[in-house]
Amino acid sequence: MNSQQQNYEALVRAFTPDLYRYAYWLCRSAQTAEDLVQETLLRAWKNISQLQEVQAARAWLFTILRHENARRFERKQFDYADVEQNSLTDVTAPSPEHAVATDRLHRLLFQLPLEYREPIVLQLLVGMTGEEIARLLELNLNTVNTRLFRARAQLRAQLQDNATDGVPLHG
Amino acid sequence: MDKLALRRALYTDPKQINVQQLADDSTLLQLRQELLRMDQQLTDTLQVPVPDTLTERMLLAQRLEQPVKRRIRLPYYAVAASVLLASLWFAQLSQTPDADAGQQALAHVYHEMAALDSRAELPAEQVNELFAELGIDVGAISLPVRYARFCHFGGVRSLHLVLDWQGEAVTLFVIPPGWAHASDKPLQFADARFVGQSIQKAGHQLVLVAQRAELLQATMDRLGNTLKFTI
Repeated sequence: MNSQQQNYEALVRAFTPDLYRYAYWLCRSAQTAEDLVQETLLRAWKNISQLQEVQAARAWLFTILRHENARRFERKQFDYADVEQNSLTDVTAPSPEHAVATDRLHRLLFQLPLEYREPIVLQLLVGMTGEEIARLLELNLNTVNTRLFRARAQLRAQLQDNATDGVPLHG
Repeated sequence: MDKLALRRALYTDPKQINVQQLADDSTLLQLRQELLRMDQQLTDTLQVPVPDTLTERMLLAQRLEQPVKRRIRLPYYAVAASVLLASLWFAQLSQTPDADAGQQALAHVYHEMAALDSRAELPAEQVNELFAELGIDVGAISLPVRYARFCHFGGVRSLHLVLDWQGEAVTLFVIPPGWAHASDKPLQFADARFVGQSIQKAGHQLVLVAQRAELLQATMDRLGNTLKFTI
């Protein structure tokens, strides 16, 4: 196996779980998340020569994934991929996961607008700093900080509302 | 930092503000604790389970240079074995002087066997949209289409369809111009289970695979009358 193949396989093993989880919270669908990760990693392989430093791999892969997600909407392509599912799927409709998420925090995260959900996921799940999130999302740092503020404020307020409604705190 | 700025900083990232910075404000100390607790709960929630064998399927997809769909639950060692077998098979394929349309087509059909069991007919306009992306005006494709998706055929983004000829499945690959092994010479191929035929039309390679030879010519004749190519 040549070194490029070895390096690629190391990247796949290191980053697939986080890419999948990030894609899941981005598109709110396990099936779409798998497809996104697959397209991301195939595109990464085709462009592996662009990756000059291992330290840049995480940001590079997440950037590709975001672009693949954007492409998904640009194509307006119906999902023919799952042959067991013969009816067409509208990718903008709520996913089955959204419908059945009984975990309260899970539901509340799904309900966050994407512009708030994405930064908080990148911070807490992926461990990115504000500066790293800003570069990935192509925003300035103040905007990222504002969105993090609003995400936490909204989640906290909703959790407190649920608590006063008598809904037991989860966990 | 004043209280407002500290509060804002806590909401942005509670871990970045240490207790000493909040020593004289019990409200902010309590807020920090709450937000840290909420962050821990959020982090736990964000860690959704990753599907079994996902990493191995990603590696397999790269080896095959096409997406791999999860059809059945495979134990880890079975997927690892399939990665090895696929690597050996495709390594052998790539060393053959002509890893031609037939070999590629058969490999794809075996890889996507479940596609042959698709039953519901896809709407014509959606099939037409896929053809349109390849620059092909299908008009009214006169055979029901049961399965349609893009795939990587020899590294080229191509269309993989399963047509219905009177209840029998006929696989059609449409490979756009630019494929390294394209040939304007008609090609016949077969193995123990399938027969196939490849022709070129307006620079596009059309490859059919079926379980009976009679289906191939009949399908090709029908398609020849309906497919138009925009160059």
